Amino acid sequence: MLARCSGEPALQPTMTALLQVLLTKVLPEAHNQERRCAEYFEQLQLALEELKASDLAPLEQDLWQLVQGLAADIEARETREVDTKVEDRVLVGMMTVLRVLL
Amino acid sequence: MEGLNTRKQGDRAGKGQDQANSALGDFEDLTAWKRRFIELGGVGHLLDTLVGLQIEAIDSRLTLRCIESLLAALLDFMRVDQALYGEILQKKEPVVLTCMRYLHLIGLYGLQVERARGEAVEGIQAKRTAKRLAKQKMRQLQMASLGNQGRRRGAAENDKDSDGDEDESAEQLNQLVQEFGEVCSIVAQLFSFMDRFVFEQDKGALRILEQYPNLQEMVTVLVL
Repeated sequence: MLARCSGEPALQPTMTALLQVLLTKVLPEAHNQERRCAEYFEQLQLALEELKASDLAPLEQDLWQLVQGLAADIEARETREVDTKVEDRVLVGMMTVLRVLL
Repeated sequence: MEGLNTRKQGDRAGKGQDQANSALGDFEDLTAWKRRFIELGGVGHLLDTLVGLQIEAIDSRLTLRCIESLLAALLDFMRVDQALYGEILQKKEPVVLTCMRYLHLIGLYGLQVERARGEAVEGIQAKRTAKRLAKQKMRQLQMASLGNQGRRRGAAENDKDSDGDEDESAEQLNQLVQEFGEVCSIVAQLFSFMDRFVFEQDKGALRILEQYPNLQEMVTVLVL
């Protein structure tokens, strides 16, 4: 649905509303859902990669705050990956979103 | 609608094809029956039913299956007559908002089922993996402390012990995965229905998404 809105000026408010929900409302919730956040982060990454820079423009301020918040959370997060079999999905997800946004 | 359910009189004890034909009454084939159903406003009725159902909460898989069957029936008729796209577009707002409401309710139902079970599917999967790894480790330690013959005997005994637990856990997980798959399939159908018959035809209809009263909760329960 985000892809359908992409690049359509008339649908910019819809795109902004959807992105706001996905990035600023759902993302903080994902921090508490370690076991089920992988799919969310994967889909978010795919969606963000498909979008044009102009789609994200109205959210510039929010995204800047989000980037700063993600960087701080990544830095402050306790190490959970005690061996190669354990993966901290939240950490991986946050790093992926940060990379896409940057 | 008269005549739709009329069955041919006479011998119905024939082969499968004869039975199928007799179930179609006066119609030559199923497509002809569907066309007549559409002409008589059947699809409009199905669509009104979909958007008009007063479902406040989904509390059983039966309700889910009703929604699934309704969608499947609509999709089936849409294949027969492309002109029906217009009928859906005329009702795009209630169609989209209803599909979103169903998606929201399905998400809430999933959480309700999970609360009743006391554990998420991901939790059961993780526990199962941890249990298996712990057993493997234990087995390796035991093997290391036994001689060659003892190793063979010990391995056989361990396999016997663990099989029962594994089977039960695997069965429970398989059942959950199957149930989860059913729910995911309905979610996918609802998204596909909105996308194919509304958004693909009229991009502007995407604005309706913003009108959904509790978009944030709906997205959260669906994606997490």
